[in-house]
Amino acid sequence: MTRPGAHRRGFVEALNRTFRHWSLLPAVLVFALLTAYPIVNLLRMAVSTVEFKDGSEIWSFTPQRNWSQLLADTALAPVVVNTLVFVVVAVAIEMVAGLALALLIGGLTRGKALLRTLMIIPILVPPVAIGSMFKLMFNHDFGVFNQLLGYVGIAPVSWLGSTSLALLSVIIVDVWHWVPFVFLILFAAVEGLPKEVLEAARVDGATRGQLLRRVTLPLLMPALTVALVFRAILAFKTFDEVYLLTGGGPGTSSELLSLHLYKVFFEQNQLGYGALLSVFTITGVLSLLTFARWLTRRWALR
Amino acid sequence: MAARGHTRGSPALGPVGERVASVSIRHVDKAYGSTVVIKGIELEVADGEFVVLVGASGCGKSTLLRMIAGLEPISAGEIAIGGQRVNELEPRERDIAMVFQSYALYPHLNVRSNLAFSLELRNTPAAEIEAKCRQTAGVLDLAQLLERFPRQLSGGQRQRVAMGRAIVRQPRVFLFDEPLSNLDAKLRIAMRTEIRALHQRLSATSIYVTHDQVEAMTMADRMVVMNDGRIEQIGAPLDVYDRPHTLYVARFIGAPSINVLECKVEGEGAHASLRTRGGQRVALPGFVEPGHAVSAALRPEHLAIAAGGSLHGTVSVVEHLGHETYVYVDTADGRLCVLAERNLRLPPGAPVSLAPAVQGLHLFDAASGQRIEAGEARR
Repeated sequence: MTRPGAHRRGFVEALNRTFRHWSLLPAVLVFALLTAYPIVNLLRMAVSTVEFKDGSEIWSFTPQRNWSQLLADTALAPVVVNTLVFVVVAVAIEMVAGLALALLIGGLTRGKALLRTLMIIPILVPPVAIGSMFKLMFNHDFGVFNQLLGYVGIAPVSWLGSTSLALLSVIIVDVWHWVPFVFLILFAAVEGLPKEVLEAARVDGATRGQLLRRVTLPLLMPALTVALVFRAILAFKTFDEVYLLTGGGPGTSSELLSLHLYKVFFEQNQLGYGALLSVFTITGVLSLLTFARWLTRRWALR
Repeated sequence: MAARGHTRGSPALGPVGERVASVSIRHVDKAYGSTVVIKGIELEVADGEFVVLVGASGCGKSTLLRMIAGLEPISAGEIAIGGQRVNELEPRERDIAMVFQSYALYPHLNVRSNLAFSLELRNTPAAEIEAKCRQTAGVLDLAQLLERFPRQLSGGQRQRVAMGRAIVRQPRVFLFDEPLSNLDAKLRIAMRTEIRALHQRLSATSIYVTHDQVEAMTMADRMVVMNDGRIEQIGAPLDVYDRPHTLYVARFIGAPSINVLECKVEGEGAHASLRTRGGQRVALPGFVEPGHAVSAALRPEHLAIAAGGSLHGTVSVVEHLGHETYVYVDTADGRLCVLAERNLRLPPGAPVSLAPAVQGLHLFDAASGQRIEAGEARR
């Protein structure tokens, strides 16, 4: 007689026990649809050739073809070199400048809030506006950079049109755009430094240089790592600045991976090869992330 | 932290001898904009003396200590260490060590490196650093913790590392900024004794800031009671306790607090006495101007429960502390605290009368709070 009731009670108990798993379901679904599925699709595309015929897409399994195309892509080597140069140089300058500004402004007694607000402005400007703005400033005939060079007696320079300067020009714009980001992260960390620890070091006999090297920098290391990782990942994916300023040119002298990807996908319509390239880019960024994580852990253990 | 046999008398951590220095504070002011927080402080700390600055929070004692350390600029006046003016010197040039309330250990360095930090900055030879760290660790019982990081230590252990970081350098002056405030009560009492023992061994000039008057009483050679940026009184703990110069000092020093009765002097000559605001009478120890409004202060040990006492009230609370018993009595002049016989048992509400001990009566001018000395009775 009691069995059906007991059965029902058992069911309710089972529901109660597993509720926390069920409550994850919506998130799991969203994740599967928006993240997992596209990745799987990308991997599938990377080993396929996709053609459009009669208004429908035709997938064929051609891993060998995509692979040999990757090996045969002569534009790829300079693009990878450009990207690495861009990431290393731009991020290095941004880290040093951001840190210097954070320490400088952090040491002020007044005007901190105002300066911090002013510093945010470059982040707020839409990338398209930044591109147009700097294109005008880099202009050979009337750009402000060449005018300034003119004042000190240097002949105008083709900022965006010469193979030796195009990448540097893009780096300059990237530095202007992203130093505030690094500054913001590090400024928060500088403001959060334990004051008494720094004072203890001063009493213990540290000069300014020793204080920075032996106390401040080690204490800022977690924030420095975060800023570095963010910037490196974002720098790897830089697209808008190059697209708007140089279009990757002249030749491939300022072409970065993202732009190259864009060209393969949308100008050459090679969806399969483009997908393979994307997978490679993702792998590169992932290994960078892993390296950074390893670095952070090592610092955390110290 | 008590001195251990095998390290006692070691050359590196013995008495610092001629390196000890006096500290002179001459008419020092500190102002933030128009707000003056330290007003004309005069203080001479002798070689090897242990001076405690004590006062309620916000009285300026920590600011004064930070000015001695060089962490706060001096607005006016002069501070000298070992006879040398240090106003313009950086903290690192003053040859002082400071123990902070938060301990301020270097979180990224282990205990050994925390101890060695100041020595490394001075390019001390590695062998000497190692020897000094080991000796310090021995004195402070840190030998087992040298490889640990601050976050892996308990509060008491961190405190000892902070002490170690100070003594390993053998500075001319030790500054302590409420170093025991973050410890639990039991550890605080133990560390209090150990810091004293350490001072007796190193005999280094020490300036110690605390808001805890018990800490001040137990540790100080001389204590400096501060209030609102000024020094209220300087003196040996018992002198300050027995002869407070102001009502503020009388109230601040001593636990439970001193009893204060607002009174007027009535009558003249042999008939002069104090009439409290509540209408009770207290005998005068000597001559005071008739009609004068005074605050009469009596410590709990100078009140006794006795039949025929001049103050009357009812028992409110009886506190048995084991070695002594305090009785709180509600009177027409508020609640008074009496140190009573240990085994006294009184039910709440019981009527009692209290006899003030005339020799324990402190009189303060009601308006200024300054001490009044009662003159000879026949005047």
